[in-house]
Amino acid sequence: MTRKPDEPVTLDANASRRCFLKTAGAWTIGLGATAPAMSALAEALTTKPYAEAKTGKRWAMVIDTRACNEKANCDACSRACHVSHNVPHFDDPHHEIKWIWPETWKHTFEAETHENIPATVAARRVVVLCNHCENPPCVRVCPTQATWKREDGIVMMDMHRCIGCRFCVVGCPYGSRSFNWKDPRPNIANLEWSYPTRSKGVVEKCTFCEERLAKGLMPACVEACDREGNKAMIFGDLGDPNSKVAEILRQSYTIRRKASLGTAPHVFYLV
Amino acid sequence: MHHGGKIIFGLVVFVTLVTFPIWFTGATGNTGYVPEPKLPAGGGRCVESREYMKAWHMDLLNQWRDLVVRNGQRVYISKTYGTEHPMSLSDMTVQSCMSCHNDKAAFCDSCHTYVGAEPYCWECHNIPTPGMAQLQPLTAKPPLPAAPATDEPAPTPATDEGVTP
Repeated sequence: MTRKPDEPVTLDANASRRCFLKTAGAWTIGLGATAPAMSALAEALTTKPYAEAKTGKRWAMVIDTRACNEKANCDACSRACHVSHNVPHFDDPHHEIKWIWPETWKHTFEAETHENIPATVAARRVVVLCNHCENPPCVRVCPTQATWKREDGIVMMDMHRCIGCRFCVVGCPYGSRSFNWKDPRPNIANLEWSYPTRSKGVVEKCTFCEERLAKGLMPACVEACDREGNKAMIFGDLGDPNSKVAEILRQSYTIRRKASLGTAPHVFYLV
Repeated sequence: MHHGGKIIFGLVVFVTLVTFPIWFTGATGNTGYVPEPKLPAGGGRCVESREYMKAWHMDLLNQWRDLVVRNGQRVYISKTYGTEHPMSLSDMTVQSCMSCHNDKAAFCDSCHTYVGAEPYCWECHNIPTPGMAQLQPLTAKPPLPAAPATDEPAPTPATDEGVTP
């Protein structure tokens, strides 16, 4: 339909635009309303935890550095952890992946120590792992909520959601996080079938063995330490005043790594 | 029409190439091919009906993933049967997906390859070897949920669902 240059815009032209907008609006609403029905996600699924799951208000760990050093060069905890979680071994330290490992006293307690402490203490090796902070910096910097703090205090990782930006690696003041620069699979000596590996490009760390707690088991490191007879790692619910960890913290003086940063670590060390 | 012959020849070549999958399949007599995923020996049923699993397994698995990892839920209660099942893709110590469907190539891949779906589950989740026992010896206290109550429908026999395609 042609219109002369001086002819005013007729109502017809407006009407067809209105008509178009109305139709488009109706379609949008219609599609929006039917979309949920087209997905199985429309209905909430009925689920529950395992009956024997260990639950706690605030999981925490106490590490007795005296008992830990009774056996020289014992690495039962880190071996148990790394085997059960398919943590790969790389010779190149740039590619190293670790969840729990022994560190020197000086490196662990840089701010908490000085050069005049007893030589026996300064010589101790200290087991370090994710501190499951009350105020975790890694969680604050994660852009995808791939890492978050659970209700029970565990700082969890969702490998499905990690985009490998490594902000958390930088944010963590304890070096508890490792990035998979390479495909880890070729470097896993004995595959634990029931635990997934990671893929290249995600960050991983200790999760306080949430997958074992869910089945009613203690963390692998604690179990291994007990098996060795050291009993240097005590894991429990700090929210329960009758728990072993709560009792130890009440009765003995414990220290935490870099507590002055305000992260409120929940791995405590007995000196 | 300038260069009409060349243009028509070019069009014929183009159409021939674009329709290659159609006429090639027709010529080799594979038009009726339907993937037949091999179901686990011993029959039984899945957590929901066959039709539901065929249509929605990917949605169900996606939702299981979030429920397990993010919400700490581990046991699924079947909508159809009311029975309880561990929500796990590849944990071989429980009755997970791969504990039953332990031959990925014959089960998962037969359809996924056909439709060109490439789920990235297996970049991390381990693929059990076909020879692997259906259930690995439990390394810990069996975390299987309790048996369903007696008034629930019993698992259907092998011949009912899940064997013939």
